[in-house]
Amino acid sequence: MSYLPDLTTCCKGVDNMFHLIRLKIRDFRGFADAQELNFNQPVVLLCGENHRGKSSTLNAVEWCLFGENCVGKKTGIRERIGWEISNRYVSGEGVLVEVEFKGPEGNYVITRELSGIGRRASEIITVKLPDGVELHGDDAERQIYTLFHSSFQNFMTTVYQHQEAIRAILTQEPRDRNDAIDRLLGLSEYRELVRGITDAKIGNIYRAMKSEFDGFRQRAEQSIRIYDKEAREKKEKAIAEGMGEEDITEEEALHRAKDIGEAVISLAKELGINDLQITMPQSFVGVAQFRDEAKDKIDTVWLHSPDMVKQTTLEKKQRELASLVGRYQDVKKAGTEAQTERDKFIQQHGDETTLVEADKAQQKEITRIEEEIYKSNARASLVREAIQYLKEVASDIERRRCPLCGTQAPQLLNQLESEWEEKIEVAVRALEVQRKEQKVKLKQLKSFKDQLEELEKALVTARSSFEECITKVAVALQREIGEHDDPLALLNTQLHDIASELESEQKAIEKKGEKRIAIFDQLAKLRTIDEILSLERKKEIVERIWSTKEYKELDKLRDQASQFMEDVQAIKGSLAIASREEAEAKISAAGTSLDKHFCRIANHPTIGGLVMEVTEDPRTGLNFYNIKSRDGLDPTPILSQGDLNCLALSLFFGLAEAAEETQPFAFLMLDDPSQSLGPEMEQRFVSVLEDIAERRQLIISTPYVGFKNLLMASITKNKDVYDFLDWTEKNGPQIARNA
Amino acid sequence: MGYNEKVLNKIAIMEQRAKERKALWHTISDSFGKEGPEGVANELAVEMDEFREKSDVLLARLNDML
Repeated sequence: MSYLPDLTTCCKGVDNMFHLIRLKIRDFRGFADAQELNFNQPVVLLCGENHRGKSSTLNAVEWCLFGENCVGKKTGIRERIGWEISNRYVSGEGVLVEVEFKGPEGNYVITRELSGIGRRASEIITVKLPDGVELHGDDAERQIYTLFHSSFQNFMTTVYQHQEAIRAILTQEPRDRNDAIDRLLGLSEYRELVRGITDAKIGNIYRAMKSEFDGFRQRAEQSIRIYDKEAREKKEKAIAEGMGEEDITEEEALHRAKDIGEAVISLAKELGINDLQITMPQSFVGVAQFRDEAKDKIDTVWLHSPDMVKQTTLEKKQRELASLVGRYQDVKKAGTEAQTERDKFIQQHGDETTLVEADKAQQKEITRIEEEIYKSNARASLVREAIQYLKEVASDIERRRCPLCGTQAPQLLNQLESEWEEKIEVAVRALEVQRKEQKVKLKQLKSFKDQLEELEKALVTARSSFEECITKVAVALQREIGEHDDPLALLNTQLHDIASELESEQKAIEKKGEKRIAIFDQLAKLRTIDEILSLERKKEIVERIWSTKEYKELDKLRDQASQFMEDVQAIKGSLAIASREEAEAKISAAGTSLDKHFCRIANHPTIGGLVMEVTEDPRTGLNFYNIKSRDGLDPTPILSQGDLNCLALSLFFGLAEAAEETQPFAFLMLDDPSQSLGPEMEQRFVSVLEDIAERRQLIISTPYVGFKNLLMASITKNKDVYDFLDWTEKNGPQIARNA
Repeated sequence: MGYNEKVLNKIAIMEQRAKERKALWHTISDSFGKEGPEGVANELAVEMDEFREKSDVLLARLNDML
């Protein structure tokens, strides 16, 4: 049985509204090849497991009507960020969603197509009117608005209950729940706008700007204080040192500079330099440079003046001669010492000739002793051989008798041998001692000869150094030094002359030096005046900063930034007020209905009814929702997930009913509305749906078989059921219609 | 009436700077329409940064005078 012919009987007051009668989907989200769904009955159920395309079917209606407006962050729906319109798994003919509505004047077919992806994607929108005329592009968009007078936000709050809206309200976090209720009331745009304004953090930028500005002001004021203090202290010191207050002026500084310049030139002339040039300052600004130049010029003139050059030359000569005096005394002393030492040595050990003679004599004595030793050894050898012979050739009798006296001498030969050996040994040993002693003497003589040679050499060196020193003295004194001249006396005479000359030169220099010091004194005073006036001038410059173009511009800029801040805050405030007023109006309009539906679905044993109020969150300026029970208590601590689900549904129904009089759409789309409801709540919810179905067509999506069966059994209107059996990348959802 | 008109109405009844605030509101709502809350944040931050940059230039010149 067709649903549409019975509209006037089954859905009261819907004859001026737009009925959804057909939906065609191709390549949209999880859909692939084109599929068509008809909505001919008062209740249409989309059933099946999650991820089979039920929500995409409802989303397709929304996208067809509102296009880009229902995509992205601005929707306030987290899932819509990066939302893909095209099916990512197929490269078919492009996205197409076609929705046919039956309106008071006939059927309207709206087709929205999308080709390409990302930035290259382009949308084509077409509206086919009942008379067959087709409108495209902006004309088509305008026609959609003319027909429905509905924004995406209105559609979302009064026609299409998103499953995300219930999920969001189930949160226990007050901030997130306020956000979710704003969404349910269609106020997300206000919230997002306020968030955008807050995230700009212009307050931080302004504070940093202000801090830098204030910092600059403080530094400038501090500089003025410092310059003023330093100038005052220097002035007081200068006055205490004898300077008049009238001297501390720019004119006086210039006069003083002129006097100093003339004094420098005069001094240069006195010092023998006639071509000195000095640049005189033309204004006070040039005084500092003049001071430096004058000081440099005085130093240069002073160092290169004839007096100073002469003094320098004399001092150099003085240092040279003084050094020669010392040198002369040293070499003379060294020569005397070398001579004395050599003479003393000769006295003790003889001269070279004596030592050579002694050496020869010593050699001769050693030779004699060695000959003696040789002779003794020869005799000993002869006697030893004779005794050996007698021992071998004599008979025993002969060996026991003395051959001279004939007396018995049994050990005669042995005794003779020992005696002889002893006698020779003593003689040879004595000779050897003599020879050793003579050799020691000879060695000592050789050492004396070497020492004498060294002393002679030292004497030669000392004499050479002395001669060399005499030559240097002659060069230094520029005269010959004869045998009879005393170099030391000559040097001292010359030194005395130089000292006298230096003394008279120093007197002349000191006299000119007094003028130089006087100029330096004037320069120091000029420096003091310059410093005082410069500090005063700096202070004036900083004081004038307040009236500079830059400071005025900066001050103006700060005012503009402050004004900009105020403007932004005013707009933020306007957003908050408008959002709150709209929230109040919607809650007020939906209030009775909200309370009625909540009590009916939740049937809470202790909460007799709900009152919703909106206030401003003082911290964020955003809407803050107070949910109170009728007795004024806060029920949120005892609200279950199911109760919160009831609250979300009640709010949606309340808003939908409040907008009913002006609502162009004759249908409500509910996406998984029973997600946290218990069995009894489901039962009560279905009875509410039964009532709503009296006035509006219901399109309900659910993954729960129990809820589907409950709807099938309890809703008394005709029903169409689309089972979403399966989903594949290639073919999209597999949908079966079970009327 | 959408949020845009409602906010405009609020601004219109302001005693001060209604014209300037309307213009600013248009800028904000345009940015929001194009790029969402990030667009608004960026637009306002850029505008405020312009004040800051100009202020920095002037402050640098004034600091040189100290």
